[in-house]
Amino acid sequence: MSDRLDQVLREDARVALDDAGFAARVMRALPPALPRHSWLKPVLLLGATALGSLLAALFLPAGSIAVVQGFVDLAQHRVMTPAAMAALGMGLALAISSIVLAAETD
Amino acid sequence: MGDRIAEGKVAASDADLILAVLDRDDREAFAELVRRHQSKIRTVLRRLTGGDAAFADDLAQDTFVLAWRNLKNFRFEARFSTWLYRIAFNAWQSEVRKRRELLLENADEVAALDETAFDEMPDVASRVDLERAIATLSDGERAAIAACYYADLSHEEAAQALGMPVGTVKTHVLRAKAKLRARLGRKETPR
Repeated sequence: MSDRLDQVLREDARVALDDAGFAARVMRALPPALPRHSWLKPVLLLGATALGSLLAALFLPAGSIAVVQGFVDLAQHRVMTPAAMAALGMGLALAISSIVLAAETD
Repeated sequence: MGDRIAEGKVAASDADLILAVLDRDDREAFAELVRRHQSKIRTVLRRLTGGDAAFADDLAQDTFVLAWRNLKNFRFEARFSTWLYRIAFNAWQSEVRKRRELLLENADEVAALDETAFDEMPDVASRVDLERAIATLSDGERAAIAACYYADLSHEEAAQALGMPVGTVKTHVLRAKAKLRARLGRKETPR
């Protein structure tokens, strides 16, 4: 009994609408494709981190741990000086950032 | 070569096409998804908008653009069409809210309708009459009919897509069918 109405509704639902340019209209409305530079984000992030570290090292007040000196110490195989440890810490932070970025799938 | 790629897209499943869009930003794959689902989405929206084809097509376009933007959130747990319907219903509901067209339910009116009339004269109900009759339903009733009949969703899926309890969907469907039967039947009653 109610099934005549069900049938009418289902028949109406089955009537296919012709595309008539609709898909093309949708495609024109999509946002433009962005260039996919997979290297850009890590380079920007690591670059910003390195630049920040460099500026921090250059503007350290006199008498505090000089990170540049730390790299000099490391180059001379003197690992246990405070400056060398600071430089190692900075290097470690950069390495962790790199690993996190490399693990990102986005 | 180009034709072969196009044929491959036509043969591909929705999931393959979605992965092509996600992996390679493949717009031709998305175009195939649009071609594949446009008819159902536009039909549902035409019924929701009371037969306003231009408005329905604008909403359908918004639906596909939103689908494109949010495709990375599609979880492959539901059918792609169900996910699209959900976006379409949301687009329609938000537009209706904007236009302040939400109608109050009128339960008393339903009781007064003759529910048997349509079944007695079933054969002459044309699609135009049906479209007009659906347009007279309340927003909730129209949404429930569109979801359950035109989008072919179960009551549970419809409830999820429309953001209303399953019981409300069932009530809306019952009321809507009673009204449609009465309206279509009344129209065809011999003079």
